[in-house]
Amino acid sequence: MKAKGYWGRILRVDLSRKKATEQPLDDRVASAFIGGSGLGARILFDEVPPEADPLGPDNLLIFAVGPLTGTRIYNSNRFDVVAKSPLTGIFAEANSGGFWGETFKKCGYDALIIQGISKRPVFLSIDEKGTRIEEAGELWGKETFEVERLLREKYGQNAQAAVIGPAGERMVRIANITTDGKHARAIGRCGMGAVMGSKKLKAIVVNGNKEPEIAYPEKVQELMRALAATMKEGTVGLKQYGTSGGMEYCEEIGNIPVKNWYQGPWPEGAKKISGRTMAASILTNRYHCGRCVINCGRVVKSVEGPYKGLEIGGPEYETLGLLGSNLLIDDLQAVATLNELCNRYGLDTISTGGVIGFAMEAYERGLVSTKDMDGIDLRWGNAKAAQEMIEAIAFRKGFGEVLGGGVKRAAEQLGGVAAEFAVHVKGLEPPAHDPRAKVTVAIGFATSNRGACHLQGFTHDFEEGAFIADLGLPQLKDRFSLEGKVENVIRMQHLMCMFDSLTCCKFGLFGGLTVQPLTRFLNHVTGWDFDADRFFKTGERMFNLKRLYNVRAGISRKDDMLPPRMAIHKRGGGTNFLPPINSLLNEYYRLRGWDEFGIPTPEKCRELGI
Amino acid sequence: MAKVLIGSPLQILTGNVAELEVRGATVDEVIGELAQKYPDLKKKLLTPDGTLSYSVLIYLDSKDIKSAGREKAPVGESSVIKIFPVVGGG
Repeated sequence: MKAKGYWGRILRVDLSRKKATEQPLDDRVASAFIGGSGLGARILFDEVPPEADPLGPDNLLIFAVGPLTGTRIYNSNRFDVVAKSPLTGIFAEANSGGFWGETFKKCGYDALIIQGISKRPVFLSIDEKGTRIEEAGELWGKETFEVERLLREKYGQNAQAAVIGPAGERMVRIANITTDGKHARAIGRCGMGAVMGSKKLKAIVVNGNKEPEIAYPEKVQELMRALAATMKEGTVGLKQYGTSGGMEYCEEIGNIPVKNWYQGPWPEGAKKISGRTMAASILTNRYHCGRCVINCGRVVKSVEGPYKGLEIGGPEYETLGLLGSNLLIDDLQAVATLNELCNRYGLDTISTGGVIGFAMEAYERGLVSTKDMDGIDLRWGNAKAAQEMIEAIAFRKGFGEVLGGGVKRAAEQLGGVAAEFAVHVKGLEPPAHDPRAKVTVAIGFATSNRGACHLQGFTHDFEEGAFIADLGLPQLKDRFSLEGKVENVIRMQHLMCMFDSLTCCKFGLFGGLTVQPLTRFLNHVTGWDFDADRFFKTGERMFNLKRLYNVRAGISRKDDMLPPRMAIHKRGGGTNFLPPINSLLNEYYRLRGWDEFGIPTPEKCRELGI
Repeated sequence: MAKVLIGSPLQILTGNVAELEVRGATVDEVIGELAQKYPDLKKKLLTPDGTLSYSVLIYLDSKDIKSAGREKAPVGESSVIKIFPVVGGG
């Protein structure tokens, strides 16, 4: 029997054959992998062999939502995209908010699988009546916002479009997919835009209004009422200052990247680009995703540069870290311009900032010259040069061709000492959190299934002070202590697998959307009977399945390492702490029931039913 | 005396106390008193040199005291101080 909250239908589009078909979603798969990230991982594991070319016809691009998506539950309307990454060559997922996920679910599907490669550039139009593969025509070549505007003009304001920009079209390996036009939300990480571009798919327009049935709507309402006050109060800082409200604190504890993760203190610079400064200077508006009360999105006024006079997207914390402090750019307006360029061209701001920081250090150390970079003067702090390099990356011009392949490839091309300051894990450039500032971040970066990532463990805000009462583990009090850290990371990784499969926003944790309410929402919507043990076991199943995909692709202990800049080089002028990653990995594998090389054992796989 | 509300992710540092009355004529006096009462919370509220840390957001009657430069703002009987952890990133 189909569980409530699901349509029980997956849409499959074969672009090589120009054909759309439907297939049932097995209820056992739904209860074991929930939706979003978990469902996407199951499909990828079953259908995409590890040797598949990420930019070839055999790779899948999977969009998946969860049972809560399309309901009115707080923060529930995100979606997850899964593929084999062209940047890292392993399991990849990216998760985004906005309104696309909800509108897709309301077309009557739980997931969309895209396979094959179209001969000509196309876009998909999906609604309750069916799916059409349309010629992209003049949309091909245009920037993301323009494409989104034209598609909404054609399909109406209820329609939502996920689109790629010039970078995705050119299969730049750090290209993203964006939704929601100028209120941009990004499927940012792992080069999903390049996968979409490889399939010659410019956009996916969705336009649905059907609401999925809920098992116990009154109970959902009751729980929402119980959470209403804390959801607003606990997230007030995010509303007021966006995700960069913690910028000064992150600088204070040595968490932000400064000068390609080389330098330590940067207090004045951090203040200049903080959420507080943004709110007091260029902020003009805020925006939110579907079913969200937080409003962490920012709109700012551009007062200089190519977008002078326009209202543009305000950079969020990770972007300010990678395109600001990491490049020693302390001009908030300049960072906003770099962010806008990335959004319009369809580039991941984290990887773009990471790779430009790498190039700036290579330039300073004399590994590359201005001539190598077609005259771009990549000195630290040179925002104009960063702007020029973003364009070069997006259009694969000159040295931009090298950098668009990501830090790992760029370092391999430069050779020599470049590997010492190539900051990545498993080929993915890290977000703006330093493992030398928090032990759980070190463990999380090393073991995340998609490479360096703060969201797959989401421990960074809970390592000191803040606490999730129903996580079932003691509070962590000292960010440099090793005690209890591995166990905490593992538990949080399972919780995050559930968040990404229910497709809920993790910021809900600050408003009380923690383990028990999430479990109850899942039960109230589907009619299932999950308890905390089954909830966490389901998360563990997903995490292990992703790991198994990576093991098939050649990943093992040797890859669960932090780069020299994070594990060997001390942070300049800051703390002297270096995470002892080898001993932490020993404990991590033991607690996970993996062998010494980081491979899940047959017993563990049997226990999890995979 | 001011009413102080502690955000739920921080309540473990106050032994699950969510709301309490604290003495003090100014915001920093109230925070100092609170820090003395709850040593675990003190680490979040104050830097090692005793200044207010950026690790929490402190609101006096719905205004962020750091942005408004109101650390020494007077606190009345009807004042409400709310304390939440900052969110760094996303």
